[in-house]
Amino acid sequence: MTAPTKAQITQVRRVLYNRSSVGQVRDALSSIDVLLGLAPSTPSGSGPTWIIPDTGQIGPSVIEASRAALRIASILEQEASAIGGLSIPAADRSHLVRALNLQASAWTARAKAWVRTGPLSAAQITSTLKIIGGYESAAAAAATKVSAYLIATGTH
Amino acid sequence: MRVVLAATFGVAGAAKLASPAETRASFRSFGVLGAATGLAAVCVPLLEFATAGALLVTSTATAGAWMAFVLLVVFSVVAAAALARGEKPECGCFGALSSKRAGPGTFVRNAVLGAAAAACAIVGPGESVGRAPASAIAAGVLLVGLGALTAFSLQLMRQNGRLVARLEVLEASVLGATGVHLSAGEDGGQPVGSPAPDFLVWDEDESVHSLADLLAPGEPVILAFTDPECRGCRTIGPLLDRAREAGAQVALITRGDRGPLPGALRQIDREVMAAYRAYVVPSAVVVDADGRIASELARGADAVAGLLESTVSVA
Repeated sequence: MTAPTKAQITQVRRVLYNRSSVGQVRDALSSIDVLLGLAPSTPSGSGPTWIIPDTGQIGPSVIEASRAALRIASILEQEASAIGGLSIPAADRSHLVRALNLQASAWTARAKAWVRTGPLSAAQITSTLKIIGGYESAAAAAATKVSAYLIATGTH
Repeated sequence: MRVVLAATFGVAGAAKLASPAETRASFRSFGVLGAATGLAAVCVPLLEFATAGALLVTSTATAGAWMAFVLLVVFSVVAAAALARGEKPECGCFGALSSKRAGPGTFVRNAVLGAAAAACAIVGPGESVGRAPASAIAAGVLLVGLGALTAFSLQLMRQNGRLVARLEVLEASVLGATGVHLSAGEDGGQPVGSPAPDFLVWDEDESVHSLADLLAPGEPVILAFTDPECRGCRTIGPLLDRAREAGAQVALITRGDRGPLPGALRQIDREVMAAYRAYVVPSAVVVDADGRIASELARGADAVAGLLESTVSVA
C-alpha cells in the first residue's frame, strides 16, 4: 500500500474536518450531553424524564437528543458521500467511506434506541448495545487503516 | 391636507429633537458649522413644531402654511447648494427615522409638500380642524404619536449602544487599556508543565491545523489569542511579526464566531480559548515542543509583549 500524498491528505481533511461540519457535530454532541444529563455540570443522580408517566410517551428532551444524534449521522453520511467522490487510492477511499457510514449507523441506532417505547427485555437491550458497539468497533477498525488522513484530537 | 402637513412637520421636528447627534451631523453635512450647528439643531425642529401647531389652528393655518412653504423652500435651496458644491449631505429630514442622503427624492418630496402648503395658503384654511372628520384627526394624532414613539425608541437603543461602548472602554481601562475581558472573575491559564489541550483551528483557506501540526517542526509555539473586535489586540500584530522574523513559531488564534481575521487561525467558536482558560484578549501562552504548557498565560497587550520578548530572546 502506498502512502497518500500531501495533496490527497489535504483533500480528505477538507471533508472530514470541514469547519462547519465539525461545529455542527460539536453542537449536536453538546446538546446530547445536556439533554440526556451527561454533562459534567449535571447534578449526580439527575437525568431527563425518559418516559412521561401520564402518557407513556418519550420525554421531549430525549426526543430532541435523538434528533441531535440523527443530525450527527446525517453529517457523517454526507462526509462519506463526499469522500466517495475524491481522487485518492481506492482502498483508502473504501476504508474512509466504510468508517464514516458505520459511525453514522451507530448514531442512527442510538437515536432509534433512545426513543423506542414499549417494554424491553434484557436480551433486547443487550442486542441493541451489541449492535451499536459492533458498528463502532468496525468503524474504528476501518479508520485505523487510513490513520494517515486523520488528526488525532478526539474530535472525530 | 393641513392635518397631513402638520403631521409631517410634527414628526420631522420630534424626530430631529429625539436624535440630536444625528441632527447636528446632518446640519454639519449641509455646511452649517460651529455653534450654529447646535443652534440649528434646536431652532429648526422648534420652527417645525410651530409650523405644525399653526397649521392645526384654523385662525393661524394660513400663516402656518406660508411658514411651511418657506421652510421647504429654504431646505431645498440649502440642499441644492450643498449638492452643487459636490457634497453628499445626509438629509436628516426626519432625524434618525431616515438616514438617506439628500438627492432628487428630497426635492420631489419638498415640491409636493410645498405645493400642498402653497395651496393651503392661497385657497385658505378650509374646513376647521374641529369640524374635520374625526378619523382624519385621529390619524394625524396617531401618526405624530407613532413618529414620536419610534424616535424615542431609537434614542433609547442608541443610548444603550453608547452604554455598551462605554462599558468596553471601562473594561479596557481596568486591563491597562490593553485588552477586553471575555469572561469575568477568573485569572485563566493552564498550569505550567501540564499537557497543552489539543485543538483544531482553520486558516484562511479553510485548511485545518491541530496543535500537533503546529509543533511538527519540533519547536515551541506561542499561541496568541485575539478577537477582531478588540482594539487593544491590534497593537500586538507588529510584535508577533517581529517574533516570527526572529524565528519564533507564532500562531495567532481568533474567535470563530466573529468572521475571519487576516493571518489568524479561526476556532469554531471560542473553544480553544476556553480549553486554555484564556478569558482575556489579547493573551498568549507558550507550548513547548513536547506539547506541554511552558509559560503562564500572558494577559493584556503589555504582558503579551513581555512574553514575546522573553521567548524570542531565549530562542
